[in-house]
Amino acid sequence: MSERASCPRFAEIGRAVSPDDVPELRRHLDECLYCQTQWAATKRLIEAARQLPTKAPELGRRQQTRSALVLAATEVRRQRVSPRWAQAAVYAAVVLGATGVLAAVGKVAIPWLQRQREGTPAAGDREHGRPREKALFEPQAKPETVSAPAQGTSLAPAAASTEPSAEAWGHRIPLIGKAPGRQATTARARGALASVSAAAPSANSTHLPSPAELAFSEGWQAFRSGDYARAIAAMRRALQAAPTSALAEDARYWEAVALARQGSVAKARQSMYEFLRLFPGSPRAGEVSAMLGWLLIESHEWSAAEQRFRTAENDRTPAVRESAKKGLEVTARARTKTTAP
Amino acid sequence: MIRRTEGKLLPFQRKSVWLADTTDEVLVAACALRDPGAMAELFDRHCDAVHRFLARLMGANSWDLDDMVHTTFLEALRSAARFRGKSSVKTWLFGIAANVGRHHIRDQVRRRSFLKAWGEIKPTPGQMPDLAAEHHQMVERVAGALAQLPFDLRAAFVLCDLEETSGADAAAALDVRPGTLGRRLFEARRALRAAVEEVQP
Repeated sequence: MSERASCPRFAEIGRAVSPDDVPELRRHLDECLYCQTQWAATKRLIEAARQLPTKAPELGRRQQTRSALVLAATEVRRQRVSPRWAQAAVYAAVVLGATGVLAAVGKVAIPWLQRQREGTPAAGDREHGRPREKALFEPQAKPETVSAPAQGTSLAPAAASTEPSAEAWGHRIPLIGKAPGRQATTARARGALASVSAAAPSANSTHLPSPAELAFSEGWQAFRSGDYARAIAAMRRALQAAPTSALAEDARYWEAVALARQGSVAKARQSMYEFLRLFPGSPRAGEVSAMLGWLLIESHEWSAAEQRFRTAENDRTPAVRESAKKGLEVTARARTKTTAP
Repeated sequence: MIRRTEGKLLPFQRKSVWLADTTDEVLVAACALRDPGAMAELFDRHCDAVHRFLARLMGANSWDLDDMVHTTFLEALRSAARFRGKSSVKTWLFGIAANVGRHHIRDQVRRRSFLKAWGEIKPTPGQMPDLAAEHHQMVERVAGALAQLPFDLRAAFVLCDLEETSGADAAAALDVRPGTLGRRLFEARRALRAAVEEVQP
């Protein structure tokens, strides 16, 4: 070991993130007393710097940031998608308009328009000899109008958005057995999400999402990511924050679904009963009835299940009607077995 | 456990619990596809680390630390598609945070508050009074010296020495060559030592 007044190699050590990782520097450090002293002083300095106070983020602020980021992710995705659709729609409108005008003045001959005028169906409109049921894949009703929400929230009614309402999309709303999609929210939920998303990224925006809206959107995102415990907690917060708002119906519905998916059958049943008690006229009432029926079948409560399926039997959604029909078959079979000698 | 049966409207356990088990790199890829769940998971994993890094870089009492954390993750969301995996995700986030900090202190008004932010440092409780005072003085000196460092040197010091990031990762995060990073690190250490030893009684 040599003791020196200075060492030219200390600059090399000082430039290394960790001299221990470089064998050559490590060897030199073992031998040179000057470098050892200097490096020890540097390490003391680093240790002191590591003890600089670093307070942890506040929980409330952290939650706010998290919610805003989740909404920003949703918002960015929507921004990326919507201009394309808007562009395509504008092009289509221009082309159709121009063609229509030309056809009307007789400058262009459009075969399908001519056939329509003559009353003969086109080959493409037939499927296995029967006229194609176009209406099956098209919105069937006018957009749902939603009454203004309480507490001054800015939930946009479906009529104001460009998307079809829950009513119009009735047959496409996924049921509980399917993965939730964006279209699974009702018009009010979509309105709420849209208003929250619009408010989140802009610091200059005058509208700030209410606690209920924030909680609902957090619950919704948690639900979509499969974190049912957090979804349930967030939906309950939304319910507590605004028990009489338009969001309450959606929050209670998704709380029940999240409970069921989590495996808390008893709580899910209770929540579904509560939903049906509070919102008997809800568009989701049939769906909830059918789900509840199947949960009751699990616990062999045949008559109660049958009652639920009877309620869902006449739901406007074909999938719900079909499910109710199957549920009634199951309860009938089970009753036959239990009454048979 | 609830199972799904044909025709039943029964709940089922969705497999998207995958987020908890997946790697950071996959999460970033999911963020590039604008998956809100992945964004939330990425935030949950790295929020504390980014907050600590920014607190060390900008001063713990900086009043807009939370805003910078928010901006960092927003930038991460926007640039997730450009992440090439040259460094770890944590270091990549540190690099973004360093850029956010650099932009932040360009504002002169905020710069003044930033310099003040180092002023209020309390001694660590539970130590002997003389030791606590000594410790407090040392930390205060380091804090003052750190605040006086040019931003690039400070970023290199915080990233390498305080956050213990490897040289290659740190160079990639700060978008400099490894040699440049080494030079900045050396300069930073030397300047800090000089500042601390100069005011020592």
